[in-house]
Amino acid sequence: MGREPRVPLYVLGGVDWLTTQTLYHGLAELDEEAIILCWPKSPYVSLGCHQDGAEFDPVSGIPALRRRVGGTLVYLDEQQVFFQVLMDPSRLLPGARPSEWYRLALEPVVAYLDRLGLEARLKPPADILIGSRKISGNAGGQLGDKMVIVGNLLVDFPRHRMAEARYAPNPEMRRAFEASLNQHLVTLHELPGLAGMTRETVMEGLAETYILGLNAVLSEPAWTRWSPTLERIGRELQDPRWLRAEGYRLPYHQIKIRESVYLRALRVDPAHPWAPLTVELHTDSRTVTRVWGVEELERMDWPRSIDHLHELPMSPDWLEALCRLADRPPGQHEGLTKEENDYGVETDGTMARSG
Amino acid sequence: MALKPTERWHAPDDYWYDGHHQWIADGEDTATLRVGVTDYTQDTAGEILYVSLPEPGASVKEGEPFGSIESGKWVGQLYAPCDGTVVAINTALQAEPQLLNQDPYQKGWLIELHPATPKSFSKWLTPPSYRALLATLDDGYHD
Repeated sequence: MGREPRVPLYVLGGVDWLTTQTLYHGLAELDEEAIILCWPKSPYVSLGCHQDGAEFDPVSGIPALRRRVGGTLVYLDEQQVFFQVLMDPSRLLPGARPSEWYRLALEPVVAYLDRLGLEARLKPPADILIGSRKISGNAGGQLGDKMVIVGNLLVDFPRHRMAEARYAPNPEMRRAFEASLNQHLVTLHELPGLAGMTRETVMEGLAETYILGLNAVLSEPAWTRWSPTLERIGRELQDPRWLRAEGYRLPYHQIKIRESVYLRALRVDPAHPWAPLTVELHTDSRTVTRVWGVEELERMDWPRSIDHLHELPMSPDWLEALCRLADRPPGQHEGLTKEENDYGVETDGTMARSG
Repeated sequence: MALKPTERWHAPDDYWYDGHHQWIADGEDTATLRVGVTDYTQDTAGEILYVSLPEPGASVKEGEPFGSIESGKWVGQLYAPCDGTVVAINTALQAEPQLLNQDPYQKGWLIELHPATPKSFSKWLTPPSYRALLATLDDGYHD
């Protein structure tokens, strides 16, 4: 990359919550490369481009928008340091896959965590883990003529706020969501010796690794020139028709916790006995790892292989419910088929959208 | 050894192409155009999990996004090749978005458009021109 123009690096610190999203959308539209480091001054929720708008719970009272890059709903606040990377396609060889763009953009984040003495690794496509726990979630896409990767590093994280913001069909799934987040996420403040880490320190460290890793150059933001574009995009991302649009809908309620870890509950009438059942699935190990909402099942030992669910001592009715949640016909040794996708299932589809 | 560009990304005859790596061909009706993504797009996107398309009747504007595709938390845009009105979408993609990977030039078509002006293919790349573009993109893979 040495002969190519250097990528402007904007080290912004705290900015208005909406600007943390409009800025990278806007700079892509303005056809500008950039690496942006910032955090929002107040909490908000960001939905994925193709996510069903009904998955956001407006009762939470948190402001929301829908971004134009991938992934699912995230709760974002001032204790998360954002990194947003916009690059010209020429930065990689033509034909580069999204996984290669993720790797290019996220290696400086992994390098920073390594500097802190943490054994961080990128779990494809887009999570950064410490051990088996997620410390950074990311998403990407092509906006205009720019390849865009956005994500954050968790300095601290209120799991209960995230659980409040995400629609849950019943209290059991919300309880399961918070418990699963507790198990599978980790923050810098929770790691040994890092309880005093500030977001300012994190941002400075990331700036150094982006300068080294992506040949970035510290630059002054051009707010005056950018503002009209950012203001318009801010309105578009919050437009109720865009924000609340129907999106991809699975045969069950599903929440992605991290790559390969999903919570699921069946889409049934609230009065149905199956309604409170929530399971946690690991698609890598093909196991049901935990169950909530049904005492008979909660008491059993977990994890259990998806392929051997039919051997469990339970009623056929509960077996059928579990098999439906695991995408596995009862009595057959089949299970999840897509292990590294955002939805974790084989029944993906099309959303017809007018806006 | 690297593949020759025309072997790496297939670009058949009887289609026209735009700079967004989409193909354009005659639609079912003589007045309409059918639009899809090329082998280059499906190959570089990876496994496509989701497709967002406009409703029939929607207006589209040349060069502006009319839909999007998602693969592994990655969203790619689909661009209108001309001004016009969407007259049909490929509903088979609802159940099988992977048709875009498996058969981008036939079963994986996206939309049919009624162009705002009488249709003319002259503004788009011919197959040889598009293959030449792919060749320039593939330069990095050759010794």
